[in-house]
Amino acid sequence: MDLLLVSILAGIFGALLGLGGGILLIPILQLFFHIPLHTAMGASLISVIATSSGAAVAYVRDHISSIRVGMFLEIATTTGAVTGAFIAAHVSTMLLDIIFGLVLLFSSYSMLQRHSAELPENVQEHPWAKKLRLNGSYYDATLGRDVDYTVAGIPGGLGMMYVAGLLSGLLGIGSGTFKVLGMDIFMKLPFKVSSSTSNFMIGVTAAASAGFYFSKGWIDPRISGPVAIGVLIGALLGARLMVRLRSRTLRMVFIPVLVAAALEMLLTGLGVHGL
Amino acid sequence: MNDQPTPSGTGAAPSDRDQRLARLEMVVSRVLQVGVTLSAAIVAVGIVMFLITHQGGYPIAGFPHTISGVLSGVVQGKPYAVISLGLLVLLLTPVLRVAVSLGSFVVEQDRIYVVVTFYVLAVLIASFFLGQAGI
Repeated sequence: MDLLLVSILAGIFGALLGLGGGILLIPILQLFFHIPLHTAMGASLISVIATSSGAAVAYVRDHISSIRVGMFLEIATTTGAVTGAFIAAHVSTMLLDIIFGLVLLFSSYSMLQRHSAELPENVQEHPWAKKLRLNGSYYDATLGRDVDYTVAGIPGGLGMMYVAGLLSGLLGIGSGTFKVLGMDIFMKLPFKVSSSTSNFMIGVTAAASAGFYFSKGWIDPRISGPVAIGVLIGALLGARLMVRLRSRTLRMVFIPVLVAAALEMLLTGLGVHGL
Repeated sequence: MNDQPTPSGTGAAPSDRDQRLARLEMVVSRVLQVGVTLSAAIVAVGIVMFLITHQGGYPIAGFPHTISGVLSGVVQGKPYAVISLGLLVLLLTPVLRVAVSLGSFVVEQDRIYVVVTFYVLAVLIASFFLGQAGI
């Protein structure tokens, strides 16, 4: 029952903060429910897939996400995810705790940064972009016009996506933050296209990790079952609340909590207890 | 640029092809939403079964972690297997999306993307078996 309530809350906050529930759920499950880390990671992947498949209609309907860019990059994210899951099976949970803490710190930091709505300029189109038909256009509601974009830095983008996939498999998260970074920094996609395409890709990446987790027995029905239901209810409630709350204010309130969780995970990983 | 497929397909403007692709994605996304609802319903049934019987149907700390194990457990009416079935349905929703995209790229004869999508689908399917292989 507690598990269900906590998952509902994680779903609500995930929807409000624009995070997959995973990065919130794992510390809660491990630190407060004393659930083994791999099982917590499995439950987190379930919550990532539930929220992303449930919301897919919205991401596709806005016509901003690029199906081709997403599918092409999934080559790297799914390969990375399987590699990461494989590594997770062979390293100590203490090391995983430390990596998770660092990733959580980094995510909190990137939440602080405000993204300008400006579009990338002087994009050097990569030779593969035309052949793979990755260039595209979307209607930007804030600018009130169609925006054409070209794609740069494809190898760098693929590399970053591999890392994002690796972290997904290694830590049981959706790693949307890292996907957006890759499309932003290397491929120079407009921010709206990056974030929408990232949401579109998260489910497939998480499924590659989750397949491995399932066959390893890390998806425990006693934990993942209530979490799946809770997160879905939470995400529905969160989407309703979103209209009324300012997400920026909420982020500012929430960042200290994330940082505290990150430090706690780091300390757990380092073998320091009693905080 | 030595093997452009067709001269007409190289423009930057969204082609009919891409519009058809987008429409198909919309349908798939609706199906996914149904899949998620279905999986939640199955999980809920499993949890209710567990709450009534207070038994998972498996020895201490046990639950199935192969697809066949889940299915045979469901047939025997084991609550944990029913919950796992619901979770499996959830895990398969993204796989279904990729499978449908593969089909549409095949129909559109978009060779590069047939290969791309086929690879992604193969990794997804393999992932369900890699862990069992003792890797």
